[in-house]
Amino acid sequence: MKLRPRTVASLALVPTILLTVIGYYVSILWTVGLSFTPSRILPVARWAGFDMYERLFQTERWHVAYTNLYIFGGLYIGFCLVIGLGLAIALDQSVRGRSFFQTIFLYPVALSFIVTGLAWRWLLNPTTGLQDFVRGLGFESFTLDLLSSPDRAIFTLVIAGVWHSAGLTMVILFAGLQSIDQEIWQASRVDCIPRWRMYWHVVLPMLWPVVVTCLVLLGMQVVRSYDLVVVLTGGGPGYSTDVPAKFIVDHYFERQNVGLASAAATLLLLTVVALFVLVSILRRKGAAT
Amino acid sequence: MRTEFNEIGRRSLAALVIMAGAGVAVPAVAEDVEVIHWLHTGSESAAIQHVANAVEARGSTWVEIVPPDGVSGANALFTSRIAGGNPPGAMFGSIGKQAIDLGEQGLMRNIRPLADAENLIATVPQFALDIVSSQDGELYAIPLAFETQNFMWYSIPAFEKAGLQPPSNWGEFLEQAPVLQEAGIIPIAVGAQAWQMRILHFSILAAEIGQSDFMDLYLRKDESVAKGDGVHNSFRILRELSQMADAGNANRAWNDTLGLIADDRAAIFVMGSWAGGELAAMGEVYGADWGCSIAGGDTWVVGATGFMIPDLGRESSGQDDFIRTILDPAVQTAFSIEKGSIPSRTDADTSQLSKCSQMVSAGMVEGRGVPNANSMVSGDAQGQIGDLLMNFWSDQSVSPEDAASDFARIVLNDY
Repeated sequence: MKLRPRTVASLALVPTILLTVIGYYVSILWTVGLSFTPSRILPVARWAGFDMYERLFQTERWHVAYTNLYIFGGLYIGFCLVIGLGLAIALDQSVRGRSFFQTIFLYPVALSFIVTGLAWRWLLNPTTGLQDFVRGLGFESFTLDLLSSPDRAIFTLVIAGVWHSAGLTMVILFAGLQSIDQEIWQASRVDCIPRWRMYWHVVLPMLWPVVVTCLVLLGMQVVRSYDLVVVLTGGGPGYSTDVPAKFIVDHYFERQNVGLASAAATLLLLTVVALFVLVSILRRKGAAT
Repeated sequence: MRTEFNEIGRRSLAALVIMAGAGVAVPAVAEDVEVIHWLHTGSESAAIQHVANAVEARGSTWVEIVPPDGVSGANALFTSRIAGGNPPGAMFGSIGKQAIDLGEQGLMRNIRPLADAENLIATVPQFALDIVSSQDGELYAIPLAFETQNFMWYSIPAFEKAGLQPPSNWGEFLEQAPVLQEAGIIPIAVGAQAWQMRILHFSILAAEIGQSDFMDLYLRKDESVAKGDGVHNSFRILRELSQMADAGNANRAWNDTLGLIADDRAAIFVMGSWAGGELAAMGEVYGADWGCSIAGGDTWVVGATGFMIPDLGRESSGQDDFIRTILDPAVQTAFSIEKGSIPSRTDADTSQLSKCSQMVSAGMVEGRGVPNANSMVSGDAQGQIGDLLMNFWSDQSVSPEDAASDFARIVLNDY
C-alpha cells in the first residue's frame, strides 16, 4: 500500500502535535483544575470550589499586582512605540552613520532583563548610586529617589523596560519603513505635502500591521515581566511594584500554596486571552482599511 | 531494582547529575544513597565533600543530584520525585515545618528508632529536633549544622567616630542612634527585602520576648504571647528603625547592605553568620574593622541546616549510613569549618571555628538557642509575614499596633 504525501506529512507531525497538546493544553487544564483545590506543597484532588479565588480577591497584594500589570504595561508599550517610532523615523531621514546609531540603540536588547535590572538598581539607589555621585560633585540638593518611594517605584520599571526594548521596536518599525514604496515620497513632493503629514496620514496607516506585531511582542514581555521586577525592585518598596507573574511564582514555589497560585495563574490566562482577542480585532481592522 | 530507563530519566530531570564512582563496578552489597543538594560554590562544595567521603568510607555509594538553579530547582525536583513515587534518599535544606507536613502525609521516614538505638541525637539541642518532629515524636529530618541568624555586625571605626561603644540591647541602640546620625553615620544598615526584614524582625522579637516565649509563639502558636506586649514592642522598635534607615534601603541586596558596614558608613547590620565570611572576603579585619555580637538579649536564633529523609518504602543501608554520617561529630566539625556554620551536636569539636561561631556554640552548650522562626511556620505564613513587614516598613501610616495584630493573626491562623 502506498501512502499519499499528505498522509505521510500528517503522520510525521503526530509527535509534535501530541507534545504540544500534552505540554501546553493539558498543563493549562491541570492548572485550572488545581485552582479549585486547597493544594499546598503537593497537589491534592479535593474540591474546594471558589475558595482560592475568594482568598485571592481578599488579598491586597493581588490587587496591587494586577493593577500594576496595566500601569506598567500601558506606559511600557506606549513609550516603547513612541520612542521606537521616533528613532525609526529619525534613521529613515538617511542620516550619516545610520548603522552606527542603529547598533547603539539596539544594544540594550542583547542584555537580559536580569542585567538591565541590576544596572538600573545600582544607578537609581539613592545612597550609593547616581544621587550620591551627583551630590558628591557638589550639587547637595540633587534628589533622585524613585526607587525608595512606593508611589513612584513603578516608573523605574518603565524606565528600565523602555531603555531595554525601545531599540527592538525601532528596528522592527524601521524595517517596516524601508519596505514602503519610495514612490509615494516623490508623489508627496509633487503635491507639496509636508513630511510630518505624510508620516501621520499615509505612512503610519501603511505600517499598521508592523505596529500590531510590536504590540504583541511587547505585550508578551509585560505578561511575563518577572525577572526585571525581581532584580530591580523586588516588588517593593512594600509590595507596591508587584506584578502577577511574580505573585504567581512566589506562591507556587516559595510559599508552597499551589492552589492560590493556580487561581492567580488562571486569572492571568483569562486576561491574556481577552487581550489576544482584542489584538485579533485590531489586526482585522488594520487589514480592512 | 532500577532499570536503565529510570536512570536516564533521572539524569535528564536533574539536568546535572554527578555520579561519584560511576565508572567503578559497584559490589552487590554496597547500596547507594541519592542526595539532592545545591552546595556547589567553592567553600560549600568543599564542605559537602567531607560528608560524601565519610559516606563512602562507611561502604555506601554517594550519588549526588545538584540542580544548576539552586534552591528552587532542588525544591521542584524534590516535590516532583516524591509525587512521582520515586523519592531520593535525602534532601538538603533548612529543615523545619515542611518536613512535618510531608511526614504527616506519610512520605517521610521516622528516624527516631535508628537515632535512639545508636545514641546519635542525645547531644543535639532539643529545639532542633522539635521543629522536625510530629506531635507523637516521630523525627523526619536531621540537623547537620546551625546557621546563626541574629548576629549584629558592627563597624568599629563608625562607633569610634561617634565616641560610642557597640550597644548590648535595642533600647541602648535607639539612644545611640541620634549621636551616630550627628556624626554622619547611618545608624543601621537595612536591606528591605522580605527575607532580610524577617531576620531583622525576629531578631528584635527574640530580644524582646526571650527564649521560652519565642518557642511558645512560633511552635505552639500561643495566643497570649502573640497578642502580648513583646510583639507590640518589636513593631515599635521596627518603626523607629524605619525612620532612621538611609533612603537606599529598598530592595538592597544583603551584600550591598553589608558594604555600608565595610565602608564604615553605617554602624550596625543584623544578618546571619554568612555575613562574617563576606566581610573577611572584602579584606576587612576582624577586631580592627568589624566585630560581631548578638542582636539584643541573650538568645541565639539559629537556622538548622540538614537533610529531610524521605521514606523509601524499603530498608536501605545506604540511607542508614547517610544518617550515621550526618550525625558523626567529626564530620559535622569538618563541614562547619568549611561552611562557616556550627555543628548541631554540642559535643563536636569547635576549637577551630571562628571567634564569632565559638560565641554561638558556647551559647548552644548553655541552652540559649532557639530555631529560626521561618522553620516553625508554613511557607505561606512566612510569605504573609514578609508582605506585612515590607508594607509596614515602607508605609509610615501603618501603626505598630495594627501591624502587631495582623502579625498575631497570621501566626495564629497558620495550620
